Amino acid sequence: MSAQRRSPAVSVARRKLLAGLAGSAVLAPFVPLLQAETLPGAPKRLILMFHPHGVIRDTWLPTGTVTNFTLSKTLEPLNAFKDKLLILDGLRLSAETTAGSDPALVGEPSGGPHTRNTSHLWSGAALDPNSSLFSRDATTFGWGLGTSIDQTIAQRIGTTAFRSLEVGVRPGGGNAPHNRMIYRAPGQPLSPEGNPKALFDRLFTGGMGGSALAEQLRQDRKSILDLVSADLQRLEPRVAREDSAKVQAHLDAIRAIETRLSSSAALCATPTAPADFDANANDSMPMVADLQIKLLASAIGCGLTNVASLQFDRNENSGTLFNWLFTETRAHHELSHLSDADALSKLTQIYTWYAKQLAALMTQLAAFPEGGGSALDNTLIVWCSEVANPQNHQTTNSPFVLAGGAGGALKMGRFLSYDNVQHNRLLVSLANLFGLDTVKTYGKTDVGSGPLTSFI
Amino acid sequence: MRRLNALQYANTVKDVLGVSVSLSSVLAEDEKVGPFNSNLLSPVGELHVDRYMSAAELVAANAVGQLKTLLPCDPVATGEAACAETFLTQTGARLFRRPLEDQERTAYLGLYTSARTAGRSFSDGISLLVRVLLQSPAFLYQIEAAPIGAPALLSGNEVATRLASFLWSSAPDAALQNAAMGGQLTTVDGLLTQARRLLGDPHGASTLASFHSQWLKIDRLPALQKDPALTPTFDAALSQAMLSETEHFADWVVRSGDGSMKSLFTQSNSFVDGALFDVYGMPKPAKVDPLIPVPLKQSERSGLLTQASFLTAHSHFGNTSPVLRGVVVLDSILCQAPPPPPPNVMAVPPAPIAGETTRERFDRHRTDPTCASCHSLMDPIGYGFAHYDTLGRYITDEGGKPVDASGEIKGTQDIDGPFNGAIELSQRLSGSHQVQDCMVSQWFSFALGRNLDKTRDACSLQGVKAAFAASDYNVRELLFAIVKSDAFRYRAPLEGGAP
Repeated sequence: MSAQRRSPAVSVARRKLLAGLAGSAVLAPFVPLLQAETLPGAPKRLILMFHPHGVIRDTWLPTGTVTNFTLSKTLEPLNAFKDKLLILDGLRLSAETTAGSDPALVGEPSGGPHTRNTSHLWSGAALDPNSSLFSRDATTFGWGLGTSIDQTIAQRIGTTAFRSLEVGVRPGGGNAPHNRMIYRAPGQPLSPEGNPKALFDRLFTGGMGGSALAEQLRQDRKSILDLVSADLQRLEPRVAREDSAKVQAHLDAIRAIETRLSSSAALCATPTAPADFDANANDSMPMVADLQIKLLASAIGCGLTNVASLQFDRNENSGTLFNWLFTETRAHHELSHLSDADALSKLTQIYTWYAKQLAALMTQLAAFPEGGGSALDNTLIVWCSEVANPQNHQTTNSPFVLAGGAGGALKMGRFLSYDNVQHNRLLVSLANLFGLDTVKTYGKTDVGSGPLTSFI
Repeated sequence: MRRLNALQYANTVKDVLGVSVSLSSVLAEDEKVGPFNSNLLSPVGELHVDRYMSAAELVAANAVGQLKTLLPCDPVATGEAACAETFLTQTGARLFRRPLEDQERTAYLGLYTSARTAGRSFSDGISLLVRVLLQSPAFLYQIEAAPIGAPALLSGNEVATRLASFLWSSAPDAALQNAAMGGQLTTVDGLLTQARRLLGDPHGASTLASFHSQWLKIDRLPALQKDPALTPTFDAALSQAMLSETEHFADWVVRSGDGSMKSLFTQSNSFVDGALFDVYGMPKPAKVDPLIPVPLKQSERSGLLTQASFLTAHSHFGNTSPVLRGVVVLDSILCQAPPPPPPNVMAVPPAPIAGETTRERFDRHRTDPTCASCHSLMDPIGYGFAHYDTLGRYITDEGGKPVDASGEIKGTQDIDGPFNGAIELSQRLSGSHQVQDCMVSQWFSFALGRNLDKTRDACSLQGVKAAFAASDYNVRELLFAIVKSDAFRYRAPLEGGAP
């Protein structure tokens, strides 16, 4: 079946072929190589994109009909890609639901609106209310109790060197639920890589390159990881039951890295490494965004991963000052609770900037020819935020934008309006779209069943 | 099974391998338990393991760059293979905080031997050993045998690991390991002897700095930004000077001074450097002795809460906030976190109006009854800090109006009532039983790297509180009392509970 497809061992010749391109400009798009044909009826790749603190609905919502619509101010940067957008209005996040019969859901929520909806967004689950690991104000909570949809889908299509790639743009502030949206399994958050240099190193060194030194490093890493695996395996029966999950996760991670080191995954000419700079600094944000988007598109276009996420900023109380857009002493979160004309105008500029980042990602992906089109046609990007209306943390009418394409399986160029539908329906649709046909519900808070109507 | 936090990793590498390269951008971010960095719960992902691989490679490259100091033997005199084995045995025992098991020794030596057989250098072989040791679970995790049924006393090596990780944020040194192997740590007296030695050692400063910067939430200072128009002098050096002042001050009070909790809130001498002299309105002397505290104006300063680090970290970008300062006092110092804002409330301070003082501005949001219920607890404490601007500089008027620093404490067990200014507030806090109890919980949670369990830890907590009181609230004695407690010395059987 297609899910089992592996990169054929074409890359040695390919690597030689591409060696001549190695001197090209920093992170220039590469010639696409592998899997150039689209899987029949199934999309190939998924990217989840996140920015914090919702949108201003009045300047976000398109006007018009399903197929004949006009983008508003916020989404204007995407105008050139209008026929590759699918905008969904009327979906609701419901981490706070007390509906349904599960008593565990009553008495939630924990963690404050930004934090709980961050882990809820892609997993349809809530934070662990019975854990006292984290505290906020007078409430305590633990990690999210769901698996994010990208990780579920990665079980099927994560057959590349990287099962999935978590990329961040200033996602810092500690390994805590307000900074983590991707969950490999309940209670197992994955940290995004926020440093372009480190992301480059993960993607393009170690497993690749033909020099004797690089080959030595690769062999050393494999030998060492073998020994560490053996240590972990001997450890496992000795630890308490709840610790054996940690040992297992560590072993899984090592296996993934070993696979990567063993694969002849040199599908692209290695781009020049970005400089090492302070990627957490406020004013670095545009530069980090630019580099991370290019690296992410390269990873997709070069066949290093089929599943990725792109997290902008941290999710609770963003302290980001958008100095490159306007002069303002109040950071994004503080602004986002205001409703005066000045604040609304600045917020619209912030959200428009995020739309520009999506446009940049689409442009990069479109530069990789693939089949009759480009990598963009086979990459579905799903963009949303943890709240819909930041002023009051409302989560109805969450701003979902789907972009790119699903290899023809999803009709793009549409604007669909729903009437207060749980976003778990979309998560089910995504699972179905990526070949997980039997999925009917998704996430602990799901009180319905089936995919979104009129979606496919 | 806790995973080392970044500080413990870096300190261990420095103490055992003599490598002090910066790993802050190499290691992945730590999980937090309350305010404290502790990798308690979430398992590692691919990114963590990748980062551990890079960190090990970086450390190993630096370690073999100074091979002579790294090795416990002379490879020429003893033979390279024998010396490598000695290195592995000794260094492995320090990094794993227990002797290597035979299987480990054999497997790791195999790595060394095959590299040498393949014609690679001695230094390459040693480097491989360092790399495998630093990626092994025995180094990365604090592993304690899981008892069955009933709580079990930790083994000598296990309790030594807890002790060094608590008091040094590092691994046990040779003397502590010898005490462990000699069975001296299974008695309270033996454990205390080592605890006193460790806390008296300069390595203890790392833990004191780490605790106080996280407890007071001033560890956010390096990432903090200030409005350059209002505070042009605020840069990385000043921010670091602020952080260092408080870390140094707390260490000095607890480890070298009288050790009393009261002094932390009332002592006005401190460690000032660089542009911090300007912040405190003092002329910068020609020469600063970093070991001798400088007397600050007693009418303006009184301990931790009046230091620039605290006042700056809990201000906004361009203005001060009685809410931020009030919340930290309630949450961190009184252990009385205010409830979260009600849903659908606009959680932003009232917009400034020209000519209005900060107090007048914040008084406006307390006229709204939904806000008032909680803000009447936080804001009046925060008002007491009105004499300090966004950098903690002392001010007597705000926009032409004289500063009104009158405040009020409400809802506490023993220190309710009006007060005037942060000095009086600090004095009030310094003698409060609620603050003393809170200090016990905070240190306890830091020491164990987990939240306290109300039922399981009740007896230990009670004993520690009593010992703290008996010492007239001496923090040194508090730390020793924690070490003596059952919660520290025993491990509970695991059934979905805390280790």
